[in-house]
Amino acid sequence: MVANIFNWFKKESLENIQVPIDLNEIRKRARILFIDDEDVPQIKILIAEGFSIEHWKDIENNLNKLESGDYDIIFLDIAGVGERYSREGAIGILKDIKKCNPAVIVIAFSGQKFDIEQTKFFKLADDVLKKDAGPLEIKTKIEEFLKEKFSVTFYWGKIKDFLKNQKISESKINKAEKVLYKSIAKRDHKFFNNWAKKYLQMKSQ
Amino acid sequence: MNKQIINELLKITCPFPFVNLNDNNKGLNDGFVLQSPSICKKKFSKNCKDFYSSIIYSENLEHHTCPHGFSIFTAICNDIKIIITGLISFPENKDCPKQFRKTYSQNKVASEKINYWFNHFKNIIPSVEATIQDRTKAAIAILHDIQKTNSLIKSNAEALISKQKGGTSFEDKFENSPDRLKSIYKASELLSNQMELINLFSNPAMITAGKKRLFEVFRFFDKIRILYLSKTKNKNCRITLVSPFSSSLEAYDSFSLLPHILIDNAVKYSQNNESITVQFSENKDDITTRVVSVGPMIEEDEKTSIFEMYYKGKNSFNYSSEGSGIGLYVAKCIVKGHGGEIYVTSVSKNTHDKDVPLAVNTFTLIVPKKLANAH
Repeated sequence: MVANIFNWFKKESLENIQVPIDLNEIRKRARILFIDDEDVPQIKILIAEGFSIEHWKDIENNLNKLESGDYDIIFLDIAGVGERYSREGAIGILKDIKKCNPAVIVIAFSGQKFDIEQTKFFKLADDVLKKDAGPLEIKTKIEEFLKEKFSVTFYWGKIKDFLKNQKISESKINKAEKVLYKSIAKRDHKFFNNWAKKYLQMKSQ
Repeated sequence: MNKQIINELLKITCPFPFVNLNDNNKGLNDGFVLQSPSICKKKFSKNCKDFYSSIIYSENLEHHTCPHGFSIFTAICNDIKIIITGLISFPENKDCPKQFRKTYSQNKVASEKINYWFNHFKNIIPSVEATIQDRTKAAIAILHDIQKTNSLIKSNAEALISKQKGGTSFEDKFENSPDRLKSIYKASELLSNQMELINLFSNPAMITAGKKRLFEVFRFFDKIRILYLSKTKNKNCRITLVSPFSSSLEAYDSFSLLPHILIDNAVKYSQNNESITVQFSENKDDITTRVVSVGPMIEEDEKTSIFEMYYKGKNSFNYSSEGSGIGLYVAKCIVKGHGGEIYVTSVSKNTHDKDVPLAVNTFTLIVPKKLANAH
């Protein structure tokens, strides 16, 4: 009985929307970037596995691409990266990406873990990967993050964080989740759009 | 700065007799100019240590008189208790018996000289610390290059393994690979773990960096068991993981180093032809892992110290030249970072090897299944 009541409350939660995940499809669609001033021998093998991977030696003039969310996962090295772009180097880049596009996953990929002065960089990143991680370990991490990222709950989590930062009340956020849930269940995006428009009009009056 | 380094610095620079309360074997030390009075050497006991422990320490050097009438100067410096002892200082000490003043006249020292030395000692600590950090940084920077080379070896080994026939998973293909290829891959993995150990030792804050994920404890111990197959074969011993155990716990990536440290420790110190057993159990909130092996007995007063930086048990030191005193310290830091506990029990076997008493040593690891937010 208690479980039924609990399920009834959870019924309209986005967590209950199961989207079938085709890993091969995700691999092709996902865009992965390594920023490392040195060669990364693992990349060749990962490309052969079907991943779409780019390698930059530094930021150069590509900052817009980073900020606009062109990439799903970025592996960011700390040494020799971003020094011309930010006084803080790679930490500056990491902060910038997270500010402009929090949905981008940044994995600290560095051999500088021993350096106490770089701890902040590793703590700011979504995850940490050692420089001598094998392609298999990198692949496992990529797939884990992609499965998570290509889920409704991931994006809803990011939107929720944004709404909370905008001081939107918990009850309003829950209402938005219910409407979004119904919209997805009905496969009718207009349902959510109309509700959102109405809400914004009410707020402006 | 590390307590052990400060104690070493004290040994080198202190001209007066001093006491190291953390030293279980020899608490009383001679200075490089003045020696401890012979009566102190003869009568130095737990009572003396209790007396030193009862003193309230401040950052300034303070004078006290011990029950025998000798001057003691105490202070706290970088969390270390500095205890200068066995002196007859003037002008403060008026309680020292005449007979001692006569016998130990060479230990009469003006207190301003002791203060002068202490201020000098305090001043050299930061510069020694900076020098050690610079050297360590330079030495550790080399690790970066080793890691790069290792990633090249591992990538190539993995690529070759992936091309093997038979099976679809990497594990199956690994099993079907030639022995030499397997050895290259295993060596590369072990090297990678050893590098990670140095990383965490140098920067323990990294223990809680990255994403928390679920770890199948059994699977990680089994992976290390496979990596250690050739080492155990050389010693004619076996690692046995008792019963399948499928439970997982939430942990940071650093957790995966624990099986490496505990198995490596057991393999290093276990006797030839002896088994190493890993047992798993769980209750509602945590998972317990026990690594049981036969090796040098761990004395009662060493059971906490062996988890301290650079500490090596007395019997382990006599038994094997291997070991750096880093692994168990890092293990303790990792377990602490996950809100768990680690301890050791050592039950005598009443036998000896190379004149070293042997015991059944059990390292027990209790880690919560779910990480608290504070961790």
